[in-house]
Amino acid sequence: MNGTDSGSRVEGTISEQLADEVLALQFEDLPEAVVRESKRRVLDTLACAVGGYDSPPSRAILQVIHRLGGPAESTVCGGGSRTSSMNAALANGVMVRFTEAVDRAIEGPGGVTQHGHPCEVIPGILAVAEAHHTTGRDVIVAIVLGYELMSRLSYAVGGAQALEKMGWKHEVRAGLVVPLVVGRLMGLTRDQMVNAAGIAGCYSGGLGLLDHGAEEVTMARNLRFPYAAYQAILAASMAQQGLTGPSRVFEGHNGFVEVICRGTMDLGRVTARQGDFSILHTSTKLYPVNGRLLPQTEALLHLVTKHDIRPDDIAQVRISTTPRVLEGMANPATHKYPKTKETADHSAYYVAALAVLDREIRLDLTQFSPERLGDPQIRRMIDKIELVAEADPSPGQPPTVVEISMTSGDVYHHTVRYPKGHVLNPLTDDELRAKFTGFASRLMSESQMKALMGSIDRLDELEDIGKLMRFTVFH
Amino acid sequence: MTISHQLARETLDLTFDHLPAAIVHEAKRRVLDTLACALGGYDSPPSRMLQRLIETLGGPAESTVYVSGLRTSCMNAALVNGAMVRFTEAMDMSIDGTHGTTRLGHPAEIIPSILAVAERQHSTGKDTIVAVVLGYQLLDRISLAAGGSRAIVSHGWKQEIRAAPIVPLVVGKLMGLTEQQLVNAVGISGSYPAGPLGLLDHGSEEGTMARNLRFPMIAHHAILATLMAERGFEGPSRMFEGHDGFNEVVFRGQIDAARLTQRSGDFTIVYAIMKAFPVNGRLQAQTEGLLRVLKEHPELTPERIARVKITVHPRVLAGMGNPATRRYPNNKETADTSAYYAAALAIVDREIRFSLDQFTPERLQDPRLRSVIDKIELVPADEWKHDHATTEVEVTSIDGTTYRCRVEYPKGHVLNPLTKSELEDKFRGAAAHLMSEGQIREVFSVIERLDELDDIGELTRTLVVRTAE
Repeated sequence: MNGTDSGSRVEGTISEQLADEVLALQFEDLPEAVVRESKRRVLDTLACAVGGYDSPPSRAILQVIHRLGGPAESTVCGGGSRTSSMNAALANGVMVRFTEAVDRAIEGPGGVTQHGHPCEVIPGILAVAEAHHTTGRDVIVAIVLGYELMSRLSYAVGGAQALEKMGWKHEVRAGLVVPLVVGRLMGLTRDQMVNAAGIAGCYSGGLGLLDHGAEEVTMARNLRFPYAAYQAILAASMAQQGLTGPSRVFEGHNGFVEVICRGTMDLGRVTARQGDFSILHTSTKLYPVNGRLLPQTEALLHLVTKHDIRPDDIAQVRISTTPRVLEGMANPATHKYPKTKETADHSAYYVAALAVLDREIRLDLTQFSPERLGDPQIRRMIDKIELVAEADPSPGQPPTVVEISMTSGDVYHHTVRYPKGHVLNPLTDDELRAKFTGFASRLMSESQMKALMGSIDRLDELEDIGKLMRFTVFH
Repeated sequence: MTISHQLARETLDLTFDHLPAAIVHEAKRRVLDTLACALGGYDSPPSRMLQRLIETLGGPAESTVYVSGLRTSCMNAALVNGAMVRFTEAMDMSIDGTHGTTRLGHPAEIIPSILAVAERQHSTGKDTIVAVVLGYQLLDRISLAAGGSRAIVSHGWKQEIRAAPIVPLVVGKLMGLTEQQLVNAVGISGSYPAGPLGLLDHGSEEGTMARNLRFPMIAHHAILATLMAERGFEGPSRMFEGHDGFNEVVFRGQIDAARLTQRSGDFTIVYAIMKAFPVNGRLQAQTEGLLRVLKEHPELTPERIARVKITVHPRVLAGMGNPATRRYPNNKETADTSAYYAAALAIVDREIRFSLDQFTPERLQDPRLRSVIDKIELVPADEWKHDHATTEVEVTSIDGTTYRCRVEYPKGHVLNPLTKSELEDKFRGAAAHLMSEGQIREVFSVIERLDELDDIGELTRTLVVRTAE
């Protein structure tokens, strides 16, 4: 044991190496494509924030932070109240997560393994950057680093599903990454950053229960990353005051790797700087539903529109999907007739029924209201849906095959492997703007949306990120 | 009914009328003991740093930071007051019954959270006492259901992970939450534990200031979760027993659910050992043993001691006797869990004070202590199967005479409790450098009348040092 201890100290602990990397990256190191992609990620994330603004969990959090008060340093999206960066990260983060329209990381352009939702790092970055009047360029560097480290920690442990097998949601990574990234924005020294990661990394949670295929999903799902970000900012602030934490939080005895990852994290992978930037390998969602339900949604919408299919004429909808969808999103006890919004956007049945009945999945989230959740029409449609899992031996992401059998005997089918928004089938800038508008148009004027999108386009020229944050406030 | 629902119902059912006089009396002693720890840690570097931090964080002026009198949010007050308590390393620790051998953690650490929220709510002294008794009861219950602190540590955690589901119940009751709101608060708070990692206090790792945050950090979070639930935020009601829930993931399925929900008229608050010295609980007996030998033999100056042999349970050796991390500790948090350092202090200073001035950076480097440390040998007594901290010390003088002392139940143990005046002296030892004797007596008197207070703010105000004096 002691032999490896001294060995690791020669090169620095894992968190020391990561802190060095975080401090070293400069805007000039970023290729143009990476800068451009960062801006797209900010737009996509703010679209989600606006979309979740008036959701029940967001409203509850806003009441809490209103009472908590704090320094007026960071903006709460939409409402525009100013609060501490911790509180803003929490509130804005919950808004983002509520929509379920968050981006997804894969490993390389053709990657199959999922690595979580890196964009959730953005609300915390914006909140801290605003408090420190950070330039747009420094924000971009922080975002690129956030994506990079979040993804790399996931690669090193075998992906989001591997973490789930250990009983955690993938956001447990955030406690180790966010302190470093926001610590840079706060001007922490290397040692302070290491202390911050040591403090926050010892409390970074998120039980698998919060989003499990056999459990009802509650509002608490939306807190997974925001909670970690809140804690990370608190820890970074503590470290800034001089509080010390364990520098061996990854590799130490009863540290993150041993306890959370059951010893399976590849630490060489965690610290290996890559040639490319993982932010380039991020898929964007076109619909506010779980990422694994995007192919079935696209296929169903295609068929019902193309063949003008009326719900009453349908005898059966058969969706041939991955075993993972069946296991996590189709449990008859919890996910077939979902009772909460958070379960519904993870229900293969509910989402399919919406697509068939409404011929669209809107970004205003009204299709997930309590009334719709109890809609007997949806229940009738759900009862016509059959989900099957078929192992697909071909390499790459397995396709989803949708088959609609009509009472007339006609059968229509459609296959989708890489839905719109996937790294291999990316949204154009215009399509991404349309996603933003889809979320925002009920809350923001045309001119305000334009101003915000324009500000994001010029992110690398902004002297103070606060300017951008002001555009997120509804007039 | 889910486990959370059962615990929420139990939480709401307990009232002051259920508490025997002896339990009320014990709750007051616990409050005094915990506040002694808080004052002892007030001046500490982590406390100073956290005080500066919460000043910048701002928030509603609803709860008091001890001594300084800064008014801040109840979350912040719980954080900073809690870290003060933990810094001293002098808080109580539960065992499973009078003769118990299983350790259950430090329930006293819930008291700063209770006082902070009770102050916000203007709770009565009686309601505060109920919360304290309940806090001990439920924290201990989780430990019992999990097999004790050591079982929790074997899963890689520190025992403060218990706080995540329990603090919301106790403070939620003070805040007047409904049963369903309590369940939601437990669901939110308990789903984000993953800590504290065992790393924060491991025999082969250096301790850091973050050690002091273990309970306070979780409590801060738990109070936030409770405030959310108060505003309608919902969490999983099957937090304990659900798939990939607290039991499955955190405790690898080892929690005895029946034990967890089994109500008992036996209040566990009486089964907590108080510490007579501000060092780790397992080092109490060696400290007492050494001080006894030295008191009986004033001629045994450090220079006249040739060897010190301390025979301890093997676990003390693993946790507090690792030569790589504990022999020459570099910081306070490692020193107060170092069998070597604590023994050297006892020998050189002939006392271990609650003012904590023996753990300063200068003392950590003191060559006199170092030279005594080099004379100390720790020996494991493998035949001691029981889990209480029996220790035998053997001091050999340079003329070859050996003096022995064996301590089985050190002062403060449930079987050898601190008397009223000993407990008051502990408080004095921690507080005398901060407040006048008059104010100290006022604290004693307010705690004595705790069950008569209309507003707990009367107690927290008494803890503010009046600089005019």
